[in-house]
Amino acid sequence: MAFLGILWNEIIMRPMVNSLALLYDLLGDNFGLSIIVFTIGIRFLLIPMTMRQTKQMKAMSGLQPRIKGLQEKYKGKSREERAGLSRETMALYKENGVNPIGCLGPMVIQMPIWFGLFRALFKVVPPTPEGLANLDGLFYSWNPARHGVPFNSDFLGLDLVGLVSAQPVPINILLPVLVGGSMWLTQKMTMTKPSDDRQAQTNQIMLWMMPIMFGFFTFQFPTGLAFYIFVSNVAGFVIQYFVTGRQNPFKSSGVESEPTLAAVGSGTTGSGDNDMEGSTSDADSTVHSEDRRRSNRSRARDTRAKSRRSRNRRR
Amino acid sequence: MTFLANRSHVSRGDGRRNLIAAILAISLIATVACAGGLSPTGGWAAPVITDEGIIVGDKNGDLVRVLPETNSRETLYQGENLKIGKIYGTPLITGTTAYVTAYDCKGNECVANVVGIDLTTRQPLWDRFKQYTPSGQDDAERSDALEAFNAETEVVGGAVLVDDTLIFGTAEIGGEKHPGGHLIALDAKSFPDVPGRVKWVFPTGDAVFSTPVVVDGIAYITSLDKNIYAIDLADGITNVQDRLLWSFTAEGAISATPLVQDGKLYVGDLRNNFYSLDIATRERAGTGDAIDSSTEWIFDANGWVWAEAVIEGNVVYVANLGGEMYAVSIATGQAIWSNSAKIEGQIVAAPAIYDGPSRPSDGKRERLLAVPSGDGDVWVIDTITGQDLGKFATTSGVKSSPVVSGSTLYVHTLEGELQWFSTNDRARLGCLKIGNGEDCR
Repeated sequence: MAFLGILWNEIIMRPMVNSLALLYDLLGDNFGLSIIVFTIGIRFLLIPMTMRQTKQMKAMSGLQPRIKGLQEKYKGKSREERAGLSRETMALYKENGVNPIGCLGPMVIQMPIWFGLFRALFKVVPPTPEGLANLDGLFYSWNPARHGVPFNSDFLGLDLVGLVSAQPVPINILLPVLVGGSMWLTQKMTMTKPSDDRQAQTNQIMLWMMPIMFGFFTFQFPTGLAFYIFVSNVAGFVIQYFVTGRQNPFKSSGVESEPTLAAVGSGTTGSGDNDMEGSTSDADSTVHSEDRRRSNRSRARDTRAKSRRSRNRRR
Repeated sequence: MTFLANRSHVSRGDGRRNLIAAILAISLIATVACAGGLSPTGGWAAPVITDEGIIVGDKNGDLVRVLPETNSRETLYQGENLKIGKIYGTPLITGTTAYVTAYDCKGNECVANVVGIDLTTRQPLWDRFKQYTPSGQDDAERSDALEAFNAETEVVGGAVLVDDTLIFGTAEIGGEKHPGGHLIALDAKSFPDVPGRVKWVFPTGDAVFSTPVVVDGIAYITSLDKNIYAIDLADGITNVQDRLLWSFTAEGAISATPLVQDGKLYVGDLRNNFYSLDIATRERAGTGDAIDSSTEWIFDANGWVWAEAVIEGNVVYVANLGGEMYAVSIATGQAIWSNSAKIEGQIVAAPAIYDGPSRPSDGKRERLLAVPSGDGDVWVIDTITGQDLGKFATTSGVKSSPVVSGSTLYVHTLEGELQWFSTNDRARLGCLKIGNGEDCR
């Protein structure tokens, strides 16, 4: 356990503490700006991983019809015989270069960042005497910020180390709403057309439960962490806009959509399959190509209808 | 970007996996979030030796008297029941009264307590719940007192008593209401006189973690705002700003308690500096940050200085937080030695200087430094050579100053134990858990 503690300290905590402190020093002793720049930096660092995750999700979804085929093949078979299903499924994944848990990558990466940031906030702006004394051991010797302690945690009138619940009204309400709201929007952007009722139910739970839970838990977060999550979601929107193109979150529900950087980067991996581009299965390709053709025809019809309406209005 | 094209199908397995992962993530974060990290732990108070026993204030707010002869203890003040908070500052014992400073936090709401306890009756001198709203004052005075100081703050350092005035430092008061730090002067007269009335409050730019030092009616305090303040304690000064005699701005924040001796003030900061300031020079200079090199000096301590320095002869001993000790010439500010064996753990509290065992050759006793380590043990360093001579082996970290009486060294550990050792052979003589009186030898 001591070894794990050292690993955690050296790989997560010290780099994070030193980054936040250095940014604080460089950005005119402003802890809020330090968190904003840090958050955006993290989002950008996660882009390649997010791309990889999206590829994995796409490849995985491409295999779904074949996996369903395998499941059908083994339906009603004995328990011993069904062991072959796992073998064949894994072989299929391997054959197509798919890691079944690969799509959780960014989320797994984000979780230590959240835990780390929670701790790092209290370590950079410690609320106790022992915390301030311990900060000495966390600084890299080259970090000029080590000479500027104690840091000022005020930003726009908020104490970023104080708990959200301890902030004055209406900030203590507004922050959870902003966190929950931005998360809801992120979820909404990534929500996909459900394949059946059960999936629709799952989508609804994901859409509402996560933001509400997060909003609720935000009350007990340090304000800086709530700020990080909110900024991270906002940064996700911006990256979504510039990298994957504009998408209206209010039009994505119930129609086809795509796995977005905003969703995966914020730790919510989205819930859906990809289209069949790049699929290795001819049969699957046929099915999905048909879907796509139908979808394209549908879009084309919509576009034509819009054009007609537009022309009529001009007249 | 073709791989980001639209999707039309959703796997139930993916959805369930994502949902479970998301809930797991939230639960873990919530667990971590609720785990705290805001609360003080205390346990930095040094033991105080009295004729009746060793008085210790522990991290749970208990004030006890330990009787080493019988390896027993008696509770003078039950912190747990009265929820006084975590004690960092060494209790002040004057005659039959003990003054204890403490604080605790729930979330980031902190409550400080400063209590006076009659050691004979074991009763508080004033009702701690009324100390800041004393009776006998009109509403305006009462309001002023409340405005100036209420209990919503942090008190890390100890208190000093000057006549009937109790002086101590605090952090900000009432959250953002009174930002920065404060030096508080309380009327310490016991009930039924005016008890615990706030006499005056001197504001500082940031929290005060140190214990004020009073010499010739002047209180010297340090603050995390990088300043050292000299405050006139005389009665009759109506404007509190008129109490400021001089201030010196260091390069870094100051958490250490200053040491004042022979017209000099010694203190280190959190920017690796250790200062020797000439008080007469400071009085002439008023406020400022410039050193007069003819009478003052700065020593590079190679690390943050948290512990109070100690003096022996013409040498001042300086510890940095990284575990390094230096012997510095008072006259020149130059290092005489730095300890060759770096102490493992933080040095947060002042070392004690004591007489070591007598040498077989000439029977003389060497003067030794007992240096507490935050990781555990009290290290023994030769004052002349800086050589590491061994350890008093404690079972846990020490962030309080050890105290030597006769040939016994007493130390209060972070585990809430009072341990005592023979200074002759460093053998442990006794150990008592302060909280429950359990023998921990």
